[in-house]
Amino acid sequence: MSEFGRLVLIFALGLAIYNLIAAAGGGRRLSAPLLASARNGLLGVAVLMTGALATLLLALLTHDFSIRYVAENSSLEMPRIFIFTALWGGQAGSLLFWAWMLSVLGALAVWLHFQAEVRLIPWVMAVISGVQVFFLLVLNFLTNPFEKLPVVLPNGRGLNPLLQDPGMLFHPPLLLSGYVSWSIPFAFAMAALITGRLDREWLPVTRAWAMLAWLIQGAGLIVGGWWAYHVLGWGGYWGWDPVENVALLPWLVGTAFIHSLMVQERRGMLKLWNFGLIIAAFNLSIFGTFIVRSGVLTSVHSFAQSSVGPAFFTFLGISVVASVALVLYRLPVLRAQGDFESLLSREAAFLLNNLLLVGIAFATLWGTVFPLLSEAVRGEKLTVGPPFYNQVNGPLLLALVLLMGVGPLLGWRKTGLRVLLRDLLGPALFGLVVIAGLYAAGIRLAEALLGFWAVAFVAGTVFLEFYRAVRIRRRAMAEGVLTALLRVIGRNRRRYGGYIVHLGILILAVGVIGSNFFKLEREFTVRPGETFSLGRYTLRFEQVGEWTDPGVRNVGAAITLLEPFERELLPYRKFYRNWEQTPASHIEIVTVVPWLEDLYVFLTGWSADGSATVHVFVNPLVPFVWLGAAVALFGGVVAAWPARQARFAPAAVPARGVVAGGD
Amino acid sequence: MEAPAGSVRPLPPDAEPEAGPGRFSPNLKLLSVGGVILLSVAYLVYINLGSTAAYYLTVPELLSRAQAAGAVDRVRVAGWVVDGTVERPAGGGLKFVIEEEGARIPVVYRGVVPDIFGPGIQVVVEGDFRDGTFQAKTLLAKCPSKFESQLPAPAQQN
Repeated sequence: MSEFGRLVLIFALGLAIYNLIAAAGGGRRLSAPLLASARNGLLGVAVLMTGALATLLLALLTHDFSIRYVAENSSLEMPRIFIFTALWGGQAGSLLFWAWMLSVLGALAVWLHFQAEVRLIPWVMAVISGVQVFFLLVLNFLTNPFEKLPVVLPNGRGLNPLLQDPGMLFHPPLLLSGYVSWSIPFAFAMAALITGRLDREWLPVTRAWAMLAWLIQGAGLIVGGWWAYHVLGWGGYWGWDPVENVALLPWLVGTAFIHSLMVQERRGMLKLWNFGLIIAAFNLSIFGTFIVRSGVLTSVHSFAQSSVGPAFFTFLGISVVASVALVLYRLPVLRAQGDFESLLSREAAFLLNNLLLVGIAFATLWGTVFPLLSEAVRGEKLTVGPPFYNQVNGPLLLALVLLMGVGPLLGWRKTGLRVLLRDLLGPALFGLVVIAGLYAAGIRLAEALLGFWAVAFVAGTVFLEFYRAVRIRRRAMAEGVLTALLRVIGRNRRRYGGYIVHLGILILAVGVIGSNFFKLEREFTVRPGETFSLGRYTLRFEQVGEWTDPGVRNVGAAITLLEPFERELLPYRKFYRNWEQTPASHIEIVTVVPWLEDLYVFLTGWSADGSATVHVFVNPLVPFVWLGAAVALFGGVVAAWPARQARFAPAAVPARGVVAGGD
Repeated sequence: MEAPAGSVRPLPPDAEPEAGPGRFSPNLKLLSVGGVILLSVAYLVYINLGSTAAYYLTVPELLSRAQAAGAVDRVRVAGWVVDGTVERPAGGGLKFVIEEEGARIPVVYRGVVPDIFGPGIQVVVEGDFRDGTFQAKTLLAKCPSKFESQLPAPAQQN
């Protein structure tokens, strides 16, 4: 099986090189046969890579321990379902998955757009093939998933127990796919630069693929947070760890891109900026893969350090230089066709939104690579932790949320201040009422009150947008509220899908504010029968017990929740064979409905005298994080769903009067 | 910075915005607001780097610096947990000794202990070094990579 896999990878590399040459040659000479051949070649690479991935999966399922990757990442006792996680649990496998995903998305893009985007598609194929060539070089010569061991082992080492979790079935492939999928809009942008067709042609298709990448990577990020929260036992869902940060970067820049794209569509402005953003999103994806795989930064995700770092760094350098050079080459044609006419215009709001998003991305990147920078510049390694990111990004996120409330109320080109203030008054007062209620309920922390005010204010403006549109429609069509609402959304999915995303982000923000400012945590070392309490919760430790499952030894602490209601809890630790040093955990998380908070009980340790050490957290409003993310992703799907009829929705009816001019 | 409300006249699509006397052009206004945002980002990064950044030192570097300065605050050190030094005092917390390049320092820590923590594991602690003891606020453990040596070496190292 090893030989077959290696052969397939070699063929895929050869074919990808051919595709690169054929597509570029076909693009230069506009030769239809060459282009058709490159198209078939890209489909062929997808078939070959699917074969390679299937071969590795088969090797894992049949426990072929003659293959190094299989021996290192799986074992006979592993539940079959986690064999799939072994597919991307190790370096070679995750890079194979990357290359496979790229080949599938590339084939899909070519298949969908070959007819419609005749001018762009040759270079789209060339860029995708170029990226494929790099990954296939790495897979063939640096970290081959089909590398053989000199001897066949009787059993494998198994997968790190922390990765043997249902979350791992979805988080790595989603995140990897998110990284990969920025390649497609990047390829279209590059094709636009190479061909000089810089007007609106590349925008709709690039936007569609950027939305897809945004959705996939967003889902990957949130599933990662879910996994960390339910498996790692430190009571949080986001730790500003370097590996998390680098996954966030392309998503932030991509979010900026999706917004500023609208300015170019409507006003013909920000062309240069948009190219900059999509180039940054792609290169940050490569950078992220590099950081994850090179081990240059200390991370809790300490993956094995490896030799693919320099290769990735080289590729990143080539890619940055090439894309920036292309932009410079086309610089004379990238002038804006319009001008900003007022600060109180939607395009201005989008620009400020972009600056904030890019600012957050920049600060996060700066903090992440600061150990490397400071060592290079001052010879001293300096690091920053979560407080840095919270204190820098907190105010910027607050500003971003506020802008999210004001921006949609602004018309294109120009909006009258008086009208704007009239529109903002209601939501602002609503926010005040909300925080007055919170103040009366005993919340005194100024930062939290400010945050909740901002969320309520923006929620008010979003509500206003929906309310007005539904009211107009109901008057005109005599429809029920729900019908009218659904039709309003259906008629302009981009706009109202976007508002649903905004609502989701607001819900998520409620969870973030709650869990950041009002978290309680304490570690208790207790003897059997002893009671302990945190916040409104009182618990009693009963005893430590031990039991075994196939390949796993479990040690748990029986704990009774006494107040405010009775519940048996059994947080325990799982010691997998071969991984006794790294036990996995079962954390007891009780979501307490009336207060919308999680009681989170983690077993830290125990000793021979029968006492146990448990870490207890009270995490307020964390369920809102998951709910908000789900709403935001749903809104993203609504906004991204391909339109059946026209490419562009008819210009949105301005919800209120003062929009000067008009398109 | 407000545009006069109500006095809206239709603009030709490519009209140059006029910057009459006493009025700043919209581009200039936008530029200044954008500049404020960028400066705020730079300011926030700068201020918080100063107040939260921690030195990343080796154990011998930390000891020589402590000799010169007495205490070293906000510092991050990596080292291997020395066998037989891990204590869990009654009342919670954790005491152990870490070693790097032959130099050793005692560490005390209260908080979440990483799963893989134990003797022989490489850890990264962050906190203050005072009176010869490291008071750790965070404790990270690096994954042991001993698996690599358990398997027979591949024909060629990749």
